[in-house]
This record gives sequence, C-alpha cells and structure tokens, in this order.
Amino acid sequence: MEWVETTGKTVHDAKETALDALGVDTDDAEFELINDARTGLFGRVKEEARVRARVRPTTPRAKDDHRRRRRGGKGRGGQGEGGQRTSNGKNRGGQKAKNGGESKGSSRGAKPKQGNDGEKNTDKGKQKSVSDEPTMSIEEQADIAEAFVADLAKNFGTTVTCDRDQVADDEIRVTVSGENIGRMIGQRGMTAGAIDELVRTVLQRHAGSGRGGRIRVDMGGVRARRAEALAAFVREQAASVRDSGVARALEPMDGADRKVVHDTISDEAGVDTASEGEDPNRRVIIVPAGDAD
Amino acid sequence: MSADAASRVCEFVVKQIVDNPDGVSVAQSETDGGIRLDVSVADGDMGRVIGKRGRVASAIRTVVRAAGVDNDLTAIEVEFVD
Repeated sequence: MEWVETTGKTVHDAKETALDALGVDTDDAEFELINDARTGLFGRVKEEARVRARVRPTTPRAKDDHRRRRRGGKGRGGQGEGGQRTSNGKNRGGQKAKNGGESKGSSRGAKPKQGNDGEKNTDKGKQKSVSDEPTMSIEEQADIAEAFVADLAKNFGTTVTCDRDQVADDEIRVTVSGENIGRMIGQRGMTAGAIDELVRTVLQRHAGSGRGGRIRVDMGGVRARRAEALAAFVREQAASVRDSGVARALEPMDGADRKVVHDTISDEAGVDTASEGEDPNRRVIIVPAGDAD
Repeated sequence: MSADAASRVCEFVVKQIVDNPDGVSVAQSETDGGIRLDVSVADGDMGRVIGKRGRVASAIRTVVRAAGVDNDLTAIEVEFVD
C-alpha cells in the first residue's frame, strides 16, 4: 500500500488532509507521526506537523479477533520471526477454525440474511473459501455487502439486484438497482450515503482485521453519475482557477466526493488541492499550483 | 404498516452491526405525529451502534426514517438507550 505524506498546522489537520487524500475513514487508515508542529513566538507556526498515512492493510480489532482472523495475518508488525513456532501451531488451529468459523458466522446472525447469502453467492463464495487467504478477500466482502443490501431492501419492502464491477485491484463497486429504489437513495443521496456507511460498519464486524480493499455501494448508480458530474464541474472550476490564479473553495462534501475532487485535480495541470474544516463541513479548495500553503 | 417497516429495518440493521444480535431489542411507542423507537443492545455493543462521532447512529436514523416515513407517518425518532 502506498503511503501519503501530508502536513498541517496541527497533527490533526495533517491527518485530516491525509484521510482526504486516501479517501478513507480514520478507522481504515494508519498513521505515523513524522514531526509535530512547532510553534514560535505568539503561537505562530514555525514548522508544520507532518504525518505519513496509508490505508490500513489489516484493521486490528480488540474483540472477537481471535475467533478466525488471527491466522498469520500479514502486515501485523508485532508478529515477527520470534513468533514463528507458536504462530505455526496457531495457524493450523486457525485454519481449522476457518471452516468452523464460516458456519459460526452464519449461526451468529441467525437471520434469513445468512442463508440468503449462501444461496445467492454459492459459486463465488465457495471458490474463495477454498483458497486460504490470509485476509478476507474483497469478493467475500462484496458477498457480504450484497447480502446486506438485499436483505435491507427486503425489509424496506422492495427487491433489488446487485451488479459488481472490479473498478480497481482493491476496489469493488456494487451497483444496486430495482423498483422503488428511490426511497433507498433519498434526497441528495442521503439515504444511499447512510447505507454505504452501514455496509462499511457491517463489513468491519464480519471481516475484522482481515479487511483489505474497499467496497463501494452505489444505490441506483447515482454515485457513478454524480461522480462524473462532479468531476466535470471540478474541471471547469480548475480551469477558472488556472486562468485567474485565484483559489476557489468548493462546498463541503463527504470523503468519497472529496476523493473525486482530489483525483480529478491531480490529473489537471496548474492546479492543486488543499482542504479545510472538519467533517461534515470539510471542503476542498482548488489552488493555483505552487500555492498550496 | 410503515411504522412496522421502520421498526423492522431498525432491528435488522442493528442486529447486523452488533456482536451480540440476541441482545438487541426495539421498543416502539407513539409520539404526536409519529413514532419513537427505543433501541437497546447488549453491554459493550453500544459503542458499535453509535460509532465514531455518532456516524453509525446517524446512518441508522437516516435509513430507518427512509424506510418508515410516508404520508401518514412523518416523524420517526430513534433513540439508543442504555
């Protein structure tokens, strides 16, 4: 995974900028403090805080973790050579526990959802559990996400279908469509955003530490359309910033939208991005290149 | 009907998020102009349901409202009780 390095007036600011750049939540990121901000006389910033951040390859979990996700997970700093002997033993146990864990996973929910999950995704799901991957694969995560959304829709009294696209090596986009899906989108996509947040939370619970990659749930494809429209708008704004040399602040957006802005601007010559404010009022500012604070 | 949908969606979502789904209960009561759902969860699961800066809680509220609100029912409160 790639590291990004950011600076800010405080460590907090620097972290927020890093999160924007990565397009993830605090929970999914890993930070290293490079140096703290130093203030000079009268609180003037002498040196900015600098942090390094990346998308967390595995998310350590306090609870429940040993259940199934501890088997030699990569990217766990603490588990070095010294732990080899014991970790071997653990490994075998862990692997056995995996199959058990699968059914345990089903029983714990004791909801129709799980059965549904099994039925619907038999082919994909089975394939994946044969190959012993150290982390929960992104396909498995997508299975969980789809099952959750399908059952949620059922509880809404409607039926949906899910299509998935592998948009990047570590990102799957699940596009949900169906009749009456409007209610699950809401005004300005508010409900869709909330559902995406819940999917993330559910995945966190199911996959625990073994979570890599990203699942994006797009209700009715609105997010894809919105991202396109947003990118077009941002390019227009970028052109005007480039021409006028005057920075322009965009309206506050959520992390996913800010990522679209950052990504779009990074392909544009002569402009850069900066961010300010805190969620939910965090916004991106398009600045002329070289002016970035 | 839609009050039921709200309550059903609420229970479903919360159960999906917690470690102990059996510890989840949702009590529905009437308020003027709407309903109120009191959600209680097992010890230790409250943090999970609320999330960092209340993000998960507010997502739950948004989704539950979307499920339940219609012409007859305009206000749905979701409270998480200890």
